[in-house]
Amino acid sequence: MLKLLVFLPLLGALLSGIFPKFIGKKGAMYIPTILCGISFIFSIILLHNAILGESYVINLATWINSGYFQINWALKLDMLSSVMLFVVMLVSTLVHLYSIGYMDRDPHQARFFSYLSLFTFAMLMLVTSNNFIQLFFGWEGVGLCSYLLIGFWFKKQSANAAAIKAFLVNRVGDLGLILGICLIYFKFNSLDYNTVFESVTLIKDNSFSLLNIEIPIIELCCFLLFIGAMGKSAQIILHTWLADAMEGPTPVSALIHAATMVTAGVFLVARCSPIFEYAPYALGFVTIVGALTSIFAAYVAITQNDIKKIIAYSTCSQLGYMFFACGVSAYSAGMFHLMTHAFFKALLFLGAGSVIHALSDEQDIRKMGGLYKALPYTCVGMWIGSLALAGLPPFAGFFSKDIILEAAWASHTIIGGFAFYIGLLAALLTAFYSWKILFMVFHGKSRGDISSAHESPLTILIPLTILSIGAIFSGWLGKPMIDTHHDFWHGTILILDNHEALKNAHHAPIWVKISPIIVALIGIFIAWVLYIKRLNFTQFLCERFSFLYRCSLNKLWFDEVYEYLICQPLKKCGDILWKKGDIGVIDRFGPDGIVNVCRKIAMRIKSIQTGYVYHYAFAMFIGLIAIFSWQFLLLFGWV
Amino acid sequence: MNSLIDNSNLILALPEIFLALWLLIFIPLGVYSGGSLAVRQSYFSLFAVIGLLGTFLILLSGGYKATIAFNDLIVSDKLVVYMKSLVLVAGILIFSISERYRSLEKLFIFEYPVLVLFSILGMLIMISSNDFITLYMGLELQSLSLYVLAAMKKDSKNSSEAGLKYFILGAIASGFLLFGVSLIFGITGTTSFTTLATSFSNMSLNQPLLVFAIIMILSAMAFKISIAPFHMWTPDVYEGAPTSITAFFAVVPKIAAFAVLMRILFIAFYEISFIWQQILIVMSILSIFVGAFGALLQTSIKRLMAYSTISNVGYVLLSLSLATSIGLESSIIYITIYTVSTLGVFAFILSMEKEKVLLDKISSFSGLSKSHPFYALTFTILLLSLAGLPPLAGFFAKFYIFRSLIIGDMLWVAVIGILGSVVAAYYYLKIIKIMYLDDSEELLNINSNNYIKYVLGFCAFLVISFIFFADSLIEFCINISKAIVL
Repeated sequence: MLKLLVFLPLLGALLSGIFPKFIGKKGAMYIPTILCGISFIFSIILLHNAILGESYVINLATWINSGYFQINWALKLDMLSSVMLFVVMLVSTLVHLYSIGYMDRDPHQARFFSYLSLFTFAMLMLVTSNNFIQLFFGWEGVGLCSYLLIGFWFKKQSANAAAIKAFLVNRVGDLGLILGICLIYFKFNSLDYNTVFESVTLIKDNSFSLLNIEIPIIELCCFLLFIGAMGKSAQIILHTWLADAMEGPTPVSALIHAATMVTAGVFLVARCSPIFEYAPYALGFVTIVGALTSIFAAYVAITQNDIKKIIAYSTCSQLGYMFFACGVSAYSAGMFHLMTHAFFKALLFLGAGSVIHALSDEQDIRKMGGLYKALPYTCVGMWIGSLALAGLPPFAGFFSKDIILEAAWASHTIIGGFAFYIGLLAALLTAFYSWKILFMVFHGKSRGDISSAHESPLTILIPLTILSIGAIFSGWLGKPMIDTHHDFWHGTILILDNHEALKNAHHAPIWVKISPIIVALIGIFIAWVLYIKRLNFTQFLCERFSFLYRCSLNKLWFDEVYEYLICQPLKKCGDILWKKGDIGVIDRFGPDGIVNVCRKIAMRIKSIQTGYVYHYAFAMFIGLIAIFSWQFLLLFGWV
Repeated sequence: MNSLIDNSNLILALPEIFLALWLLIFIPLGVYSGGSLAVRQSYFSLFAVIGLLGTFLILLSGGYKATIAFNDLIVSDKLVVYMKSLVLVAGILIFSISERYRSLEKLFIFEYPVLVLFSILGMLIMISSNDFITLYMGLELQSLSLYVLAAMKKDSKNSSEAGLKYFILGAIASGFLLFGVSLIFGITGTTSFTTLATSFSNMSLNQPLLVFAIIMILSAMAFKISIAPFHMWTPDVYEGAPTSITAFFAVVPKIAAFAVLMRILFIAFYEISFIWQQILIVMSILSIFVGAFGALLQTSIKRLMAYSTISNVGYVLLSLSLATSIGLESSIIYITIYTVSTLGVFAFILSMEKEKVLLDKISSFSGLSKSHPFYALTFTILLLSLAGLPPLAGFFAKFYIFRSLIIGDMLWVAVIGILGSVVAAYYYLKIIKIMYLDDSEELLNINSNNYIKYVLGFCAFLVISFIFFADSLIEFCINISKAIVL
């Protein structure tokens, strides 16, 4: 069943990718969707089995077998992977369904669905892997599909640029990941999860010295792995690609850049919890990066005007939450938030997509407003999604965000406390920008031409409905995930006894528990004041705090700094190597040089061929005499 | 004298005798027959082809047991039978592809097929010779016919020039051969290959005169197979001769000359391989490079094919120069594949005409892929094979040559040979590029008859499918070479 689950999306991708003519335009959309649907049903059954305690590994084939180094293609089912399977397949199926409606005007549907299914397959390979190499395969596979899908509208220059940017920024992270994998192999002599995790304790005290500083190996491993996670999950420093990735079609943003691929980093950290647990400094680093990302992204989001970019920064910020949860050893809280986030963020993206679809590809929220009449269902969906995102009870986000903040508080470390207050502030901003979207899009006066807006077709509304249900109930249903009395994860997540943030979290004081709700309500209130009640006050604030405003609007100039510090020197370097190195040296003496020599020789041979018979006879005699002379010199030993 | 005209001896020479008798009938028939020129042409060709077929059948029925007859003058073994079959089949195919061209160029005269048959008769004698005297007789019969054939197009200055050049230079080469043979006779007292082999093993070999004689003989043979530096006649004669004769030149005499060369090197001069080995290596590398570079700037397809021949025979000679059975077997493989590819290429060249004139410029093939996809495709396959691209036959031909070189501890020679083939690949690919990528100024008008199409398709098919019957051919060639080299 696991095999079928993983390979059905691949089959769908191949069918609509290679034989679009054969299966027809409708078939190219429906066949991958149906295959994903079947996989989704399997994933429910497997999740059920896994909760009952089932776990196994299916070996498909040997991939690399070189000396002692053996890597198998294998599918691993355990609690962690089955939760991911469920989330991935649910969102993927709904996005497939949604795309049937959303991409109805696009001429390249077959290609789109093929990429979507291929992405799903790669993601499944990533989560079901039982070794780091196959994880890396899936990791790169999803990266590739992300690249292809961001640049899906390849005629748009900005889409191509965004795709390349996403690819390159991810490369930086991937370099970290692959170095981490190499280091693990170097130290553990294996890349199999089980072998590595079991032998962590043996080498936890190993260290090496760099510039007279003793660096523990485990710390370095975790640090490098986390660099990879940062790239894929768009954490601060490597976050710049995520907002630009919104150039892709909206279903793609929902699937890849909200629910699944970007959470691969969190999954990686949770999966490697047996290693991370022995690396306190790396965990601290994870916490800090997560906390900074959550506040930074929320701060940037409040001034953006593109509906998808706001949600993208929101994703970034929520991923920060997940990471700092992992950083304080509350991996299960991180995974819990990952799941609930998948519901409500996919819901928000798909809702935004519905709005964009209704307004014929308009994405600027300043040109919207008062849409609740035209798009009632979408409006309700977005409200639910925002409520869940802001963490108001009883919506999903409440449970997961609450436990994360409590865990951060309960870790009783400076970093944990720092993360807690940062997280609270980010929660305030989260509520603020969420309601900014709601108020500016659905309420108030209309600021653009919305007369042609119409509710989206059923294929768009069904996924919205299902996700809305998920966004309401998944938090409540998923509560066992963070239950400390009963191990929901069946040992796939390791938490050392002295890291008991999660246990303590349940005994957090009441003010810690309710403060997220209070700050969320404050955020909503501010948004209401600024965007409904007193519109001119917004203008005033912008001018009063123009520095803060501009910082936020320009995303703290990350892109500009990178452009100046990295891109331009690299371009110059490339330019020099190209003009001086390649054309000037390699071409001149390599291909061009050889061609010139050949031409010269050919000219010489051609000019010998004079056409006079006495020249020919002369050549024959000269040849004969030359051979004679040579042979006689040899014979008499004169040479 | 009775023993000379022994029945078994006669049977051994039966193919040659049959062909000679056939020619004797042919000549009066040609003189006295009537009818229109075109009818007579096809009638004569048919007659010639039947003669060749008959010879071929007799040859096959004779068996291939190794025997020597007529007081060591004539030999028969697997190599002889195989090479003769190649010559005869190639001869028949060339007749069938040159029909159309001959009527185009008005080469109706019956001397044409007669001379071709004479030269083939000469080649058969060459191949079965076991004595320098027999060899010389066959060689001269062949060469004299070819001189005339080269000058066959009486109204063309180029053709007469080609014939004359070929004749003068050929006479010099014959002089070399005779000079060398007489020296050999002076040293050893015999001209028979088998006797020479035994006498070399019983004498001191460190004689300048022997070296001198061998160089003379090798130079003459090198001239016949157009090895540099004795290749100078090739481009001019190929270009000047009527194209159907060029096709003949490029394939058939080369087979015969190589068969003789194999016999001389591996039977008569086997004991003194240390003398000729180096000479042959140098000459063959020289011709590989002359062939590769010479063709680069050619615009005429016939001249290009001349250089291509020079470079290809270089490879064959290179593996012969190893003096090992592996070298021999790979050269036999190479000759076979070369014959097929070159036949196909000339079938193509003979069909490229526009307004009753055969096209010679490579640039005039532009746009062929659109107007005549079949021709363009088959020609491309043949060229790719000549360029040595896997999995086509030409790749395996070269592969076995280089393999034998590497086995024979001549790695550097192999590397040089590969470099030469890289250069040569350029001009083959250039033709493909012209056919497929260049825009045509005007469309070609191909009126080939079906024979050409069949031959072209057949050759391309053989070249592609070689990979499937490679094993059996290679096995076969190994058998042949085992029969020669002990």
